[in-house]
Order: sequence, then structure tokens, then C-alpha cells
Amino acid sequence: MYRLALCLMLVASVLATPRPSIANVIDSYDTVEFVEANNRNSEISGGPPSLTVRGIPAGGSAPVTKIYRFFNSSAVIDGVEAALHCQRLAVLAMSKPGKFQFAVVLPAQLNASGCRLTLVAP
Amino acid sequence: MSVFFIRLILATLIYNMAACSNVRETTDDDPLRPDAGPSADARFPFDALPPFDAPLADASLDRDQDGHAADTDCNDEDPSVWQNLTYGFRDADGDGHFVASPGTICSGAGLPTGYSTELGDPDCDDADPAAFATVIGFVDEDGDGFGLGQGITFCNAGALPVGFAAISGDCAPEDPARWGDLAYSFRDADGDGAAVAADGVVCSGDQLPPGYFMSPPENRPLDCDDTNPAVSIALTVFADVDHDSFGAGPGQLACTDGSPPPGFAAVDTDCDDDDMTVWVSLVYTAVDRDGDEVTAPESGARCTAGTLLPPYFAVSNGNDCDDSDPAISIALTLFADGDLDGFGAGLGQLACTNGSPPAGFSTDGTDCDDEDATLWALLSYTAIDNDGDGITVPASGQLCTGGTLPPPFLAAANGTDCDDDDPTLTHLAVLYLDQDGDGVGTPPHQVVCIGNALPVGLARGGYDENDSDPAVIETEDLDELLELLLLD
Repeated sequence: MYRLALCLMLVASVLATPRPSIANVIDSYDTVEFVEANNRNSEISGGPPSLTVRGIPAGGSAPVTKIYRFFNSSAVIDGVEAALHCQRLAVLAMSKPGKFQFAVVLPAQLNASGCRLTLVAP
Repeated sequence: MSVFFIRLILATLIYNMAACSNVRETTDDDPLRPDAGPSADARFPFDALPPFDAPLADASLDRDQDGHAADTDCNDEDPSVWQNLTYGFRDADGDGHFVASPGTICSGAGLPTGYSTELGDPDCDDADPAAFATVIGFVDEDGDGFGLGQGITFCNAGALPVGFAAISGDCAPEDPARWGDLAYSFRDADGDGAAVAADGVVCSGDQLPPGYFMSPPENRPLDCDDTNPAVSIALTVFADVDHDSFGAGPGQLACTDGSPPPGFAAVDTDCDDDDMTVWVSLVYTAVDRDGDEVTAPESGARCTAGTLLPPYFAVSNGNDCDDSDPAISIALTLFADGDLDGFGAGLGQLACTNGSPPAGFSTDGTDCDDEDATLWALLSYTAIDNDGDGITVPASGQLCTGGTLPPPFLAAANGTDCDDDDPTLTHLAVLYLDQDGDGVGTPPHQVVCIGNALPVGLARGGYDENDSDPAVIETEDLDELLELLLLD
């Protein structure tokens, strides 16, 4: 349990380090029912990596499915890596229903998407 | 006694011979020498006579011992002469000037002084040493050096006597300042300083007399009338009936003193030649007939004294919508304000005002309810909050208001109220049934409209691995699995 908490803190710090303190929340999900990172398929098609999320948006009453695309905005933010991190956080939220709120965010100073987990339930 | 008579006869003979052979310079009838007598050379040479007791001349004798025998010596009594020489010219008066007078004279080696074979300087009077040059003079009464009339010949030392001049043709014999003709090209007969072109000659002195010029006077135009000293400048003048110095009508050329004559003007810009108070036409673009200092557009021209007078103005000031009423000047689009709330409605109508709408009208035609003074502004809303819990539901429309949207209408949304009829319920939450009451439930989730508090038996978390045991929520196995996943 303690190792898991340490791991979560590490992941959060890795994602948070290159970001500014203020990020624009694109979407927040109270539940995550499905997540898929399509980075390999995107490379074949020539498009950027993507993340497909299905879940109930915060304040919503029914699940929705959305696809987020991750662009290489700089040497620091790699689109494939960002998509994989988001996928892992989504899996974590999905494994602990109601414990975290999963959010896809857009860093204020970087033209790249990232993800954030917020502890909701103890 | 007989000897005496013989000597007398001999002397007379010699005398006559000498008188016949010697040249005389003048004659007794010479008018310039009325008292002239025989010259010294022509007089009887008593000294040359032989003494009474001397024998008669002998051809072989040389009595004067000049080397020439008496029979060849023309004067054997004078050793300085011995031969007769011929001369053509004679200077009897010794003034150095000669006259033609050929003759022979007993001479020495050469002709004596006063005789010459060459003319030299001619002598017009060989009897007067002070007169030798012939000059012709003309009577010069005015003493200007130029005479007139028939020339008179004078024999004197070379100078004309007073009152005569060597040059004739004095064009003004009684005026010492003028003597010869000079040509002129311009004439100022009237003496006004302006000339006219006129070629001719005039009796003058060194220079042309006043009034005659070779070129026109500088800075003066040619005289338009050289018979009148009062005028000289040609002007195009215009009739000035009202005598305001501005004329009108066709121009006519007049010879003036530089100013138009009375009744005429140099300019033809008089816009009213019957009124001496106005003379210049000015253009106006605006009028203020009601005197409210706000003009109305109107253009034209006014005959003025140099300045446009009210109500005519060259520059507009505002735009008077009613230039006949000084109380109003500003055009406004007005709307009927039935409820007198300051906001009108209906079709706008243009009205001339004093700047403010009259009672019952407004410049604002946006009153959404012109029958209710409390309502005038039509506002749009995008959300409503019926239960007053501060959380709205989407809604859109417009509402006639008193300036602000009344509750529950709001211009901006605030969240999404899942139950806008219950102020205790504000939003949807994904909750899980928590059977053991440990705060964490298990799936499946359920979406519930809640307020600030969670309903009893429901929890936000749905990861309780044992919902029948409040002591167990999560297990280590799952955590290890997640750890492997996250560190992959």
C-alpha cells in the first residue's frame, strides 16, 4: 500500500514537473469505464498519438466517450509518453472507482495535453 | 653846273632802271597798304653812285672788289651782291609767309631774305606782318561757336575775330545753348515726364533739350496724351455710378494721371453699382435667419462691403433644423414614450428640438414595455435558478426588465442544477452502495442528484474489496498489480 502511494506520487510529480501550476481542465471524469492509448495505430496512420476515454463526466449523469490527441509540443513533452501516462492514470482511476477524479488537462503554457488524478474519496 | 646836271640825269636813269628791274612787294593801289611807298631796295641807291669826280664805269673795273667785274656785277658798288637771281615768291613784310611775286634781284650767292623760289607758307597780306593766314568766318551772334550766313574771309594771324565762328549752320543763332540738330526718338511735349514715340531732329546743344529723348524715361509708361500735362497714364476704367471706387460694366481706355477720373474706377467688381455701401460679392455657405447662432446650409453670394453680415456666413456652425425658430435647432430622432420612463418605443420620427426630446418622447427607442414605467430594457438570459440555490439550469430567452434580470433569470450559467426545484440538491454525483458503512462502496455505480451531503448508504468510492466488512477496503494484491502497471 505504501509503495503504491509512493508510486502514485512519483507519477504525479513526473507529469506535474514540466507543467505550470495552473492547467486548464479539458474534461473531468467521476468514473472511467474504458481507456485506450492508440499511439502505435496513430504512427501507422501518420496521426498523433491518441487516448480514448469513456466515463461519466463530473456532474454528468451518463457516460460519454471522447478521444484526445497528444502532439509533440516540445522536446520535453513527448506525445507518445504523455498518452501512455494518461492511460496509466486512467487505469488507476478505473481500478479504484470513486477514489480519484480523472481529468484531461491542457497545461497553460504548453500546447500539449496531460492528465491529472485528484483524490476524492479517502 | 653842267656836271651836276649830268650826274642828275645819270642818277635818274639808274633809278628808273632799278625801279623797272626790282620786284615790288606791293603796289600803290594796294588797299591794305595805302601808304606804302617804294621799298628800300627799290629806292635810289645814292650810296652806290660814283663820286662826282670819279670816271664813268668801266667794264673791266671791279670797284667793290667782290671778284666780279663791273660789267658782270649787277652791283659793283656792293661786294655782297654780284649776280641777278630769279625768285618766284616774296615775303615783303617779313612774317615768314610768302606771296607769288616773280622777279629778279641782284644777289650774292643766294637770294636774300624775303625772296624764295618756293611758296612755303602762303601770305594773304604781304604788306602786314601780322596778317598772313586766310580764315573764313560766319557771323556768330550768340557766341556758341557756330555761325550762320555767308562766310566772310579774313586775313590775319589765323584767328577769327570775336563774333565769328568757323562753323556755320547754327540752328539757333540767337540761343547760345543750341547750335546743331540732334536726332530724337521720344518726345514729351507737354512736360509731364512721360513721352511718346516720335522720331525727328531738334536744334540742340551738347545734349537733346528737355522734352526730347532717345529712349523713354525710366519707370514711366508712354504718355497716352502728350498734349495734356495733367494726364499720361492709360488705364482701363469702369463706370462707378455710386462713387464707391468700384466700378462695373464694360471697361474703357482712359488717359489719366494714374487714378481713374471721377465717376470711374480701376476695377469692375462692384456687385451693386447703385449702392455705394456695397461693392464686393462674397460667397456664403450657411445662414442663421433666426439668430440662434446655429446655421442652416444655404449657399449663394451677397453683395457686401467686404464682410458678410448676418444672417449670412461663410462657414457653417451646426445644422439648424428650423432656422425660423430660435428656440430649436437640433434635429433628433424621437420615439414616443408612453409610460414616461425615458425610453420610447415604436417608429422613430425626426423632430427639431433644442437638444432635448420634448415631454412624451425619448431619443431611445428600446423600451420593451412602453406601458410600464418600471420596464424598459429587454435583456437576454442564458440560465435560470428556480430554487435559488445558486446553481442554474440552462435556459435562454429575453425578458423586459427594469435594467437588470430579475430572479430566477440569469445572464450567465453557474453549474448545472440536477434538481432546480429543490435547493438542497444541486449536482449529480457518481455514488456507490456502501453496505458496510465504511465510506467506500462497491460497483455498480449510480448517478444521484445530491447536495452538499452524501445520502445515507452511498459512498463516492466504489473500490471496497469487502463491503460486508467495514474493516476491509483494499487489499495488497491489487496494489501490487497497480504498482507493476504504473512502473511499466
